[in-house]
Formats: sequence, structure tokens, C-alpha cells
Amino acid sequence: MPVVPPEKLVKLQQQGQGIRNICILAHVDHGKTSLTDALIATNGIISPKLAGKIRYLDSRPDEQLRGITMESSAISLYFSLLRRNAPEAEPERKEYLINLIDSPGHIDFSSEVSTASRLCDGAVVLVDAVEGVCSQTVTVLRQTWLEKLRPLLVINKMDRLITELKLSPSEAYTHLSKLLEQVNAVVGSFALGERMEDDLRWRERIDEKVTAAVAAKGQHAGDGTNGVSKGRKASLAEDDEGLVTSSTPAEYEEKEDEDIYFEPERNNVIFSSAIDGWAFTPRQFAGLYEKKLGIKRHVLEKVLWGDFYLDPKTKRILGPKHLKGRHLKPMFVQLVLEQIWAVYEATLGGPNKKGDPVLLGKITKGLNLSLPAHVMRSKDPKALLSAVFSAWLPLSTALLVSVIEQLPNPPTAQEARLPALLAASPGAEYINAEIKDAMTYFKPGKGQPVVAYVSKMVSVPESELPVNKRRGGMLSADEARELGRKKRAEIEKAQARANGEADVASVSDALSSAAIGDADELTGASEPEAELNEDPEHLIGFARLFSGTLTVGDEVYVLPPKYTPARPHAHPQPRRVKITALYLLMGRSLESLDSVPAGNLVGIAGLEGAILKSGTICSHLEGAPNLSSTNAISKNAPIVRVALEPAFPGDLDKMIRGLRLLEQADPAVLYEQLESGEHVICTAGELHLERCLKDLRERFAKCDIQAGEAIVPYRESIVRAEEMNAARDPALGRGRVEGVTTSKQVTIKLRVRPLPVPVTEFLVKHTGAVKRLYSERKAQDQERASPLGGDGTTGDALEDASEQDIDAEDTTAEGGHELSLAEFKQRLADAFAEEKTDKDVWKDVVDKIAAFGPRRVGPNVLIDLTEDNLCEKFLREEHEAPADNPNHANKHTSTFADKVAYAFQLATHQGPLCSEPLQGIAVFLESLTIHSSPEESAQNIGRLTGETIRTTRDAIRSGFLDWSPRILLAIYSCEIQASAEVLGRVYGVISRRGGRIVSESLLEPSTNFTILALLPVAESFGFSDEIRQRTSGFAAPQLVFEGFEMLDEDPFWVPTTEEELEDLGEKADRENVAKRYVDKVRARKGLVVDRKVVESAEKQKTLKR
Amino acid sequence: MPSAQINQPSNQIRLTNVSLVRMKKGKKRYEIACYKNTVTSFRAGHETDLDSVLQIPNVFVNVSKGQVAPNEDLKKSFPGMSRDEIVLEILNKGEIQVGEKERGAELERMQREVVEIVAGRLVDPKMGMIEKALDQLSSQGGHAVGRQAAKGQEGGAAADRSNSREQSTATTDSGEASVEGEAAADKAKPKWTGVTTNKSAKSQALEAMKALIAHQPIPVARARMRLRITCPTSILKQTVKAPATKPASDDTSEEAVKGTVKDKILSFVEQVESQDVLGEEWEVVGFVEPGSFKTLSEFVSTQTKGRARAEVLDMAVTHEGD
Repeated sequence: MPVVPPEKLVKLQQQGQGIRNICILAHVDHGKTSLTDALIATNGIISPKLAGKIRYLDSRPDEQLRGITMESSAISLYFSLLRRNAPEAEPERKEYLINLIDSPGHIDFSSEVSTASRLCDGAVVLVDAVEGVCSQTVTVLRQTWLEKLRPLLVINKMDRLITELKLSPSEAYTHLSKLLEQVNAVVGSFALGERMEDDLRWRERIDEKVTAAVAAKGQHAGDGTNGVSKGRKASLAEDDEGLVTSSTPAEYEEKEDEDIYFEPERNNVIFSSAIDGWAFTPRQFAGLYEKKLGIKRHVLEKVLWGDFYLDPKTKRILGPKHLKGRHLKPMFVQLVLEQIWAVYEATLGGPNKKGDPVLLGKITKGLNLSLPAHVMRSKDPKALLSAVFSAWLPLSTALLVSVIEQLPNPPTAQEARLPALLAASPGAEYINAEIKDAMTYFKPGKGQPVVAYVSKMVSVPESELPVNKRRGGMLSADEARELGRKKRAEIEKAQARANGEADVASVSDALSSAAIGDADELTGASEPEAELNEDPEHLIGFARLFSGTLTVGDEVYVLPPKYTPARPHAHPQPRRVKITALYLLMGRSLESLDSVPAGNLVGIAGLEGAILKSGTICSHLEGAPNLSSTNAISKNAPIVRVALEPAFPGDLDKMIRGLRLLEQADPAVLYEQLESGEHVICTAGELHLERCLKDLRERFAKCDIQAGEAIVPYRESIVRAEEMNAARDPALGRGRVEGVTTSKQVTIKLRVRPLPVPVTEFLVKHTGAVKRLYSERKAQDQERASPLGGDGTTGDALEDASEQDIDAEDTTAEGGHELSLAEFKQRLADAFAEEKTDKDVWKDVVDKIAAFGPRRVGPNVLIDLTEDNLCEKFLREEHEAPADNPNHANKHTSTFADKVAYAFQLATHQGPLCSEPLQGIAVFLESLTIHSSPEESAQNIGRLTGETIRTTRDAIRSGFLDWSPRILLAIYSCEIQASAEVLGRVYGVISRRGGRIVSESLLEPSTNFTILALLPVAESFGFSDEIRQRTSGFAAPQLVFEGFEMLDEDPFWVPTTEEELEDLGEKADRENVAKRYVDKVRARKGLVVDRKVVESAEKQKTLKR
Repeated sequence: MPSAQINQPSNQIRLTNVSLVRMKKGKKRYEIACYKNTVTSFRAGHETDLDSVLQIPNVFVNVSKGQVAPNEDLKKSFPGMSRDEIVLEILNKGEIQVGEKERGAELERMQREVVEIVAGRLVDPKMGMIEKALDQLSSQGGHAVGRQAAKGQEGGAAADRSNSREQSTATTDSGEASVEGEAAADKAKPKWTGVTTNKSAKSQALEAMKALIAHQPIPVARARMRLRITCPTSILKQTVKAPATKPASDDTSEEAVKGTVKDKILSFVEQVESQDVLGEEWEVVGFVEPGSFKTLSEFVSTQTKGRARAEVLDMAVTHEGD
């Protein structure tokens, strides 16, 4: 087949009617890329012989190596069709442009699937004939459902039924019909779910709709007469008939009913074998048998699939009722499957598996095929097989004809899909009517508003851009031949290497190396490696144009995902960028374009920096729709978190730059820098992570990078436990400590208590508020300091502070920022009042709070109980001027009070358990006395400062340990959707990792369960991967950071009472989980761990070295 | 009896899994036989079972020869103690042989502690990176240090800092750089040769930090303290008193002779965040290098007789955004 010049494709882009945008979706290894290969072969881009083996669109080396697709990639194909408008009319030649997107099937890359499907109008869903419906099949079907794509079902790998399972045609027929039922059941469940939702919504509005319902009822009755009566139809009708259908327009229901199911008689099911290169629809066979049987074609089409039988005597078609006990085969078996089985028998079967030449001769004659002589003589039966099939039932024809006939062209598809899509986008009511119109009714004209959706950014090395190729990317015939020769030579070599067995990897190797050699010739570079290293990466937007015509040099607005037409100028302001180039996407190569009309897929250059991952491009700013924020894209939240660091520390900058690029180029990657300075990326799965690392190493960062477990934060706290060790000093009471500095000059008395739980919760929630109050207070102080300091400026200062705050801190709390000082105090007091036990202790405590900590905002408080209020009050009212202490000695003590406050910050920042921040403790400073004259202490203030800080910190720590200490674990809230069969295994994984189930509910109407669980972050490494493995992919977890939760176990607990000793023995056989966590952190930080160096010393290796 | 004298494999006792604890008391040397790698755990209190520490619960004069200490000697050296008490005494106070694993564990712990401290005191800490950078420094050893120091003298300190990164990477490549003459210039830069167990983690961390900042294998800077210094305005204008009153502040005193108190204070503050006068008080909030905090606070307290105060707001500002 001749190579199709790109000019032709460009010409076809102009005709909206002749365009089909489709994506190919399926579970892993169901044959997407092989199928695509067969289609690509029709355009002469690859040899038909290699189709199904070469996997042209898997352009990455690791894709070829692993044999799976990782990135969706697009290619534009040309297809011409002879078509009769009327049965008698002369066939008319029609040309079509098919924009095809091949998507990955692995669950890690399901975000690629969702982006791909948004760009398309129709979907080809593949199902393995043997494996049937798999987890990802369900996912892609749901995707097509949500995106309202018209699906086409391809039952692939039919050859496996024959060669592997060795089914007879009738068995295969039963198998296939079961498979079809499975698929339809899945689709039906979506439809049912949606219908129930509709129903619910409708019931709420029933009163308003009474009149409308009456009208619709009449209409429905009319529809019912010509409607196809399917199972679902019946279920529809049983609900208070007519009223339900009236909730949505009657014709909508009808269309739904028609479209959603896959039925061979409606030609939306294709039977194929991509590897052997054949496919057919019942319609094709109907055409073949029309003359032979003398039955009208459209009748045959209807009866070829299903329980219909051909009466051998009368040549009439019988339904199952008229069978009258006769044993007949269904028509599909008799007329279709048996023929195919016969071809396999003739080529691969026979006495010695070498085929049956006699039978083959009969078949070729019967089918009126002529096979080339060299193929007939060929020793390889496979070659013969594919020769027969490519002449008889070529895959591309069946598929492309169905695609063209069944799947909508952009104008129709947009009309059907876009209203719903636009309505779902944010601020839908503000969208400009003109733009809406242009998008819905597909106006590709020059003057029309341009709207395009960029689904992802693809990174392309500079050398692969067509600008840099010597001439337009199009190879001349000579060159193509040369390249082909080279490739063949390489392949032969590879084959020789692999003992004559053309295994896929080596072939692909050969191909890629041939390509590199070619690049060499073109650029004249000596080292392909070196050239690769110099290549800067360019980001190209992978986009679908919905309306208008985009031309190089156009200036358009790029709308960020958070944009809403309600507030077009809101921050961040949409950027205006110039389109620097447009590309026709041809798999691994690109072709330059000057302009593109609506309805096409296109690569857009010049968006670098303007779009992070996905976005909308529009020629207008006001009233532009935002397509990128709607649900489908962010469905697959990244769940595997790892910390990255370069192997060589000097490469840090390189790595950070690479990470930023990667985040842009991959929609499913999230990059963040933690407070501990770690660089963490979140990926969709382990496989995805591997790909990201490879990308980073080889393309984006170009340095060696190591991945490791991210550091997990903890908190420390204390509780009043039922049974605690006796207080250290019974005279002072629990938690009270008297500290004396080493020089015996300063004595500090303080008492540590656990904060009441409501207070802690309140403080954790309102961290932002505390921070703001703090900065406000600072502002106040400054203002008082300034001579002009009137009350008038207060407001400004406050506003400034809170504005800063909004940038600095995000609070999850309900309106943490709106709390004013008085309100904050009031609510804090309320929280304290909730505590019932020690009412007198917490009374009036709010006014005495001197500081929060750590970092002055944390959930711990320092309360000043000293007689002359040494510390400044944190929550003082504005009008209360800072208490000026005229007393000189007092002032002197308050110098030390500062140190105490500082020591409190230090102590709460690093707790005694494992140097993690504290949470929920209150320190009461009871007294601070200095035993030396002011002059004396002023002399050695430097020494005293250190001593005071150290003493106070130690005092707080020992006071802390006087209570029952607890460790708080960082917790993920984990939402898992799992089917009932794998529920048990999900529970197993969660409980083994120390998680706990919060709730479990059945997700109506499907049989899936939604499980809500809490899981310690420390145990989450590899969790999602494990859960996927254990459940064969039928459970998908999503992890969200929830907060800190107390592990109710004292890390220092050992059995003491007789009973406990009896139960557990002296060493507490049961593992102390809290202690395990504490020890882990301590070991990481290099603190002393209570662990023996060797476990059993007497059993050490005793050989003398 | 005869079997003990015949040298056969079965009756040989080899001192393989043995670590000795020795003690000199009353001019006599005593030894006890312990298992390897256990004594430090025992002393730290992690190991409580005496049987898994002691090989033989007896006191020897020479373990390898099997000479048990005579009772009279023990009584003389340890009056009024039973044999078990003596064993414990020796175990707790005698000199020990540190086993391979014990040393390894201690070194690793120390290394982590040092890294933790360093990471806590640098701007924008990168835990893993710091560990790697320190490894790199210590593996380079004297070579890189010497070369950089030589370069530094030529090009001035500023140029050196920017260059040092390339150089340090370059030196790893060309390991056999010529060393002649450079050893002399070695003193100029602090170097880092890895952790040892005989210094405290904190002092090692300080050394490590200095080396890191000097060599910059990764871009790092010391986190600064944030201080609030308040001082009565009346004192501000005074000239700094003669250094004679306070001999402790050694290095600052010469330059402090001229200039007012205010100038002096401000010279400590690297970056001033805010500076105000409210009434009689002058207040400045700013960042100070942690190394100079001590001198500053001493200066403040001595010069102003305790009327001025230096208050620590943050020990280490590790993030610019704070």
C-alpha cells in the first residue's frame, strides 16, 4: 500500500464530516497496540507483514522492552471507502481521516486513558475473547460512559479460541455470547445507576413536573410502538409507567436504549484476531451470503447473530420455537464460525499441523481468492494463514468501516456531547453563548472563537521536531527504501541472534537502532549518545480543537484548570500566549502544520510554562468555558509516594529542574518538597514510578537518582492513663518538677499536664488563627512603637497580617482565618470548659496563656501562674498595654521568663520520646526565683541564660515523662472500592498493616463496596501495590493525609503486676507497637535505642579470623 | 585427669568468642571473661541477663591461661565483697575491649546524630543529601581540601566559594592530584574526615557544618538565629566602654573601642528585620549568626548593666518563609 503523504491528511482535516477521532481502550494485553498496528499498516507506514508485531506506537524503548504501552500516542490515518448512497447508485469514493489514539491499559496509566478519551468522539473497546471482562475493561467502559463516547466492541484474540482452547464452533459461539452478556451487564449497570439517579432527582421535583409528565406520557406511548423491546426497556416500563421516562425527555431515553448495548446485529461488535490480521462484522458475512442464500441482506444482518437457525431443506430462517426438536446449529456457527475454523484447519491443522492443502485449495476457490505462488509454497503455515485472511477478511476494512459507519464524526459528536460537558464545567451559566454555539454546532470557520482542550503536555526532544529535520520529515522513496533495507538487515541480524526466532524485543531494538542511524545521517552527528544529551526537551500540548481554526502565530488565552468564566480575571490570571507551531501527530514523528480547523487532534507548541498539565485554550477571555477542570481528569489520584535524591549531591539542582519538567509532562505525577527538605513525588503506581525514574534519569534530569521511603512525621503526647507508675515525687504531685540550675542561682517550678482533648483539637484546627494572631500582635507592637501609633492604622496592619497569612498557611479548618481575637479566646475558653474533671485547674486559664508551641503556633500551651505575671500574655486584649514593670528586680526576673518561654518552644519542638514535636500538653509555670543579686546575675547572664534554658527544658521533659506518654502516628484516610469477592483480602492487607476500618458500604447499584479505613503513614509504603496484587486489581485505594492519631499504648510499658506477669511473662512477649515506632525513629535520628548489639551473644561465630 | 593433658581437639578451649574486662586493683590485675559485643549493652542497661554477658562467673588473673584469681588476693583487693559482687564491680568499672559490632553500631548512631544536628541547623535542610555530602567530603580526604585551599588563596574567598563545587567534583575524577606543597596550605579550610566516637556529637556536628559550608558540595548555608534586642535609648549613644572592664570578650574588644553601643549591636546583626524606637526603648529584630550570639549577649548584658536584653525568637531559621 502506498505511503499517504501528509499533505493529503492536511487536506482531509478541513472536512469535518470525514474525520473520526477515536481512541482504543482495553485491559492490559488485550491487543490494543497490535490492532493499531494493523490500521497503521493500511497507510503504508509499516509493512503489513510486521503489523501486530512491531507495535509502532510504543515508541519508548522501555515500552518495547516490557511489551506494554505506557503513554497514549496519536496518529492520523487516511482511509478511503467506496460507498453507495442508494442501493442502485454508482459507488462513490469517500475519503476519511481517522485520528487514532492508542492508550495504555495498565492501571498505573489510567490517567492517560481519561485524558485520551476526553479528546475523542468514539472509542474502540477491546476484549480478549478468552480472558473476557477484566478490571480495566470495566474501568474503560465506565470512562466511555462518563465521557459519553460512542463505543465499539472488538472481541479480539479469536484465534486463541481455536488454537489454544480448541473449542468447536458451537462451543465458541456459546462462549462468545456469554462474553457479550458480561460486557453488556457492565454497561447495563452504569445505565441503571444513572437511571436511578435520574429517578431520584425526578422524584424530588415530581410536583412541579406533573403537567409536563402528562404531556410526555402521550409522547411516550407513541414511542413505545416502534421501540425495540429489550430487557432494559421492560425494566423502564415497570416503574410507574410513563412518569419515569417523562423525567427525562422521551427521545433521550430511547437513544440511550439503542446505544448502550453491544449487539452484533447492530454492527457495533467486531470479531477479530489482530495477530493474524483478520476481523469481521456480521454485516460482512451478510453481504457474502446474500446471493448464496437468496436472503435479503438487511434480514440476514438481523438474524446472523442470535438464536436463529437455517432450515437446510427450505432455506428458510427459523426461530428457536420452530426448531421442533431438530438439532440445528445457530446460523452464526454454521455460516460464520465454521468457515473460519475451516481456514485454521486448512492452514494450521491437518495431520501434521502443517495444514491441509486440499482443503485450502477448496477454500481459496470457494472464496474466489488468489494467493501468490510464493506464499502457497511457503513452509510457514502462519504466513499462509495471514495471506488467506488478509485477502478474505482484512482487519483494517472491518474495523475502519465500522468506525466510519458507527462512530460519529466531530460535528455530530460535539452536538451530542458538548452541552453536557459544558454544563458540567464550572461557571457554566457564564459561558458566552456564541462560544457555546460554536462548540456545539462545530463551527470551524476562521472568524469563529477558538476553543481547544489540552489534555497533556508531551515532551519531545528537540531533534525530533520537524523543524530540525532536513526536509519536512517526509522520506523520499529512495530514503524509505534505504531505511527499509537497513531495518531488514538489522532484523535479520537480530533473528540470527535469537536463533531464528524473531522475538519482539530484538526486532524493536533493531528498529530503534536503525532509526538512530538514520538520524545520524541526517544531522551528520558522530555520536548518537552525545546528540541525545544535548537535546533540550520541548513540551508540546496534546490538544483537541473544538471550534474555530487555529493558525500558527495566533494569540490565545490559556485558561488554567482553576479558571471559571464567572470570574475571568481572578488570580491566577489566564495567560496570553502565541502559538509558535502546530503539529500533526503521527505516532513517533510530527509533521508541521500551518493551521488546523475544528474537530482535529493537534500538537501545539508555545504553551511551555503556560500550561502545567492540562488546560483550555480559547481566543476569548470572557465567557470562555473551562474544560480541564471537569471531573474526569483528576479521577486517578497519585498514591505511591517516594522521596527522591540524586546519587551525587551536586546534582540536586538538576534533579529539581527535572522534577519540575516531569510534573508538567505527566498528568499523573505530583511533586512536592517537604518541610524536611525531601523531594517527594507521588505517582499512580509502582510501574508508573519506574517509568518516571527512567524518564528523570535519561531525559529530564540526566543524572542518577535514587528513590527511598519518605520520612514519616510523628507527634508525642501524654495522657492521664488508668494505671500509671507512681509520680516521681509524691510530695509535688504528678507532673510537677522543680528545676535548679547547676549554679544554684535560678529555681524553676513548673507543672506539666495533658491538655484537654477538645482544646488540643481546637488548637490543631486553628493553627492558622494562632499564627495570624501572633503576627497581629507583632504588628501592634510595632505600631505602638512608632510615634504616630494611633488606633487608625490598626485595621491596615491587621489586614496586612492576615493577607500574608493566607499565602503562608492553608487551614483545613472551617474559616480559621475569620476568627478574631475575642472570638478565638471565647472559643478556646469554651473548649476548656468542656473538660469536666479538673475544672478548677483550667478555670481562667485562657487569660494566662503566655505562649503556644512549638514554633509559637503549635497545640501546646505555656501558662503563666507566677504571682507577678512574668511572661507577656499572649491573648491580651488590644487596649491592655503591656504591663510596664517599674520594679527593677521584677524586670530582671522577666529576662529569665523569656528564656523559660524559649525553652518551652525548644522542649515542645523536640519531645523526649523520639525528638518529634509535642502535641496537647500544658506547662504551668508556677514560680521562677533567682537567688542572687541582680548585679551578680547580670555579670554572668550569658552563663545563666544557657543554664536556665537547659534546666527548663529538662524539667518540662521530665514532667512529660511523669505522665503516661503516647506516640501519635500520621494517618492516611484510605478509600477503597472493591468488589465483594476481594473484600476479605482487602481487610487482610489493611489489618496486617495496622490499619483500621471505619466504614463499609455497598455502592448501589453495583456490587462494589466502598471501604473507608485509616492507615498509618509509616505502614503505607507499598500499600497500594500490595492491595492491587492481592486483589488482582479489583480494589483501588486512594490515600489522603488525615492528621495525627494517638496510638493508645505506652511505649515504656512493661508488665508489672502479678497478673500481667503471669499473662505475658517478664519480657512482654507481645510486641509493643508504640515502642517499635519510637525505636525506629530514634534509630533514624541516631538517638540511643534500648537494644542489644547482639541478640544471643553465646552463639556468635567463634571462628578465629 | 589424663584426658586433660592430652591435647585433643575436643578438650581445647579456644578464646574466640571472648572479650576480656580488666581491672587493676591493689597492684593486681584481674580479668573476667565475657562474650563479645555484650559489655557495652550491659553497661547501658539494655542487657540485664548476666548469664548472657559472662562466660564464666569467676574472676581470673589471666583468662587465656585459665588462672583463677586466688581468694586471698581478692579479699585484699576487694575487702568485704563476695565473688559475684567483685565480678559486677569489674564488669562495670574495668576497662573493656570494644567489639567490632559495638563499634559499628556506635559509629552509625553517631553519624546519624551528627547528620540530624547538622540538618537542623542549616537553611533548607536536606537530610539524605547532607549525609551524602559529608560522605563525599570525608572520602575526598585531604586532597580536595588542600587543592581548594591553595586555590582559595589565589582567588580570594568569594571566588573560591563559587568555584569550590566544580573543584570538588573535579577532584573526585582526578583522584591522583599532586599533593606537593599543598599540605602546607591545608590549614586554611576546615575539613571533615568522618565521625569518631570519642568526641561529642554536637562538636562533631559543628565541625561538619563548617566543612560543609566551606566546601559547598551542595549549596548550604548556616541557619541564623532570630533575636530581638531591646535597649534603652539613653545607652545607645554611649561609646563602648574600654575593654579592660571585661577581659572575657577577647576578639571583639579591639574594634569595639570606637563606635557607639548601637553600632556595635548592629554589627552583630546580619540582617535587620525591623528597628523601632518606642518611648525610651530601642528595639531591633534581626538575624544573627549562631556563632556570634554568645559574644553579643555578653556584650549586651555587660555594657548596659542588664538594662538591655537580647531575646531569642528562633534558635534556627531553617526556612526562608518563616
